[in-house]
Amino acid sequence: MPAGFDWHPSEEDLERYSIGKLAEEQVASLEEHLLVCETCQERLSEVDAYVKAAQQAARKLKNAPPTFWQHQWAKLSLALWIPAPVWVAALAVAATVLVWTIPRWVFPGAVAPAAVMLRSIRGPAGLSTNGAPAGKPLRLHWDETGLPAFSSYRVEIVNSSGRPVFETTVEAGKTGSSLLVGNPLRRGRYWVRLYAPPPRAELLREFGLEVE
Amino acid sequence: MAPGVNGTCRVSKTGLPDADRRAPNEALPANGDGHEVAAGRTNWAELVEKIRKGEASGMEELYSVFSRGVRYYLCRQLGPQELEDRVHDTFLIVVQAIRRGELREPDRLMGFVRTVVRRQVAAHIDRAVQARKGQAELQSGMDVSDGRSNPEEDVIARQKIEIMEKVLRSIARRDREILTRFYLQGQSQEEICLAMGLTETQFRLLKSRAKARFGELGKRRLRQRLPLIFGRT
Repeated sequence: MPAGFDWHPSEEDLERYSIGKLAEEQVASLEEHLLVCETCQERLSEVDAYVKAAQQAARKLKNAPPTFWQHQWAKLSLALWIPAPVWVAALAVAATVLVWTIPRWVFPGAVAPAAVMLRSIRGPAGLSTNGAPAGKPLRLHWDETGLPAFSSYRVEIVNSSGRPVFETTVEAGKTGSSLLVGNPLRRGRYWVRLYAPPPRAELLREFGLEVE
Repeated sequence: MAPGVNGTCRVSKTGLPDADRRAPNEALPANGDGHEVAAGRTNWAELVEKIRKGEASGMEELYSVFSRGVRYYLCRQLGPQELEDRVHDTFLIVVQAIRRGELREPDRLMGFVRTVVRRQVAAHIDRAVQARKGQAELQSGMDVSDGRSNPEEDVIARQKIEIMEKVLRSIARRDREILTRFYLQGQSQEEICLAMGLTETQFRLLKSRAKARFGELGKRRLRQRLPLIFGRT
């Protein structure tokens, strides 16, 4: 380690000096350099602070080593260092989303269904559609006037591509039938089809449904 | 003499001559006499001769070159108490010694100043030890530095310890033991490598990773706090 203004000690040299482990023959030249080098004085101050923090922290953890879960948490929190307020906000949003979403999927009855009266009316533009809100369970009602008298009907809902998205069997009612579509339908056009029960299984009536 | 850490040793830049605010290899600005002095190219023989003759410019130059470093060294070893008096005493000793012809090799002025400073530190420690041993009460002027800094620095130091604790908790037990041996138990790199079956490279890598994590966490914490303190977005 040469003396003189043109030489700056390495981080390792400064650390060894801070801990008191620098070779005696190197201490003199390092200290002489520190007398005149402001930059290295500041570097040494930072090294001193780091060494002191390391010593204090190591002493504390030597007496009380971290548990398995403390270790895992420290690793995780270091890897995902996010300020506490952001964590709290994120958890609050996640909780709100879960509270809002889970009942719809797990307990459809928990959200009041929207009632829709299906009417099958053909006009110049074709079969008219009935409107229904998206994102809510639907209680579909229809009038059985004119329908053959069956004890039950098979009901199928298909999307605009013709793919079935819902299917069930409903009991025929004296004042009209209805069915509960628990899983909310996405926005789009659907067709609600009433079929005769097996073995006939013919299409009896069709309703257009616009979910928006 | 093992170096110590006492309070803050970051010497304030205010009040220091401009010559003290330079990089080591940066040329000093010309002083009022138009005499340019370079930090790395100080003519020690000329400086010593000026001091020996009692020239004011020599004293000024001596002060401008060494005052910051002397102040830093004394503060680091003994704390901020009575710092200015000690710095003054150091320069007084150096100047008197030069005038008495005790500095035989002017080119070794740096080493001479260092020796004087170290003797100052040793003398103070001796006095403090003697005072503790033989007296029930400390005499005035012989207070022992408790090494504590101001409350703000205490907070900063505590935060650094917390960060370091987090870093040490996050690493494997074996790595933690290696760092504990080095920083707390004072074992040398060679001793640790032999005992733990490490190469020098592995040892250095572990230390530098821990230091990098420490630095990164410190920066993140500072970035969080600055907008709150200063109301910036």
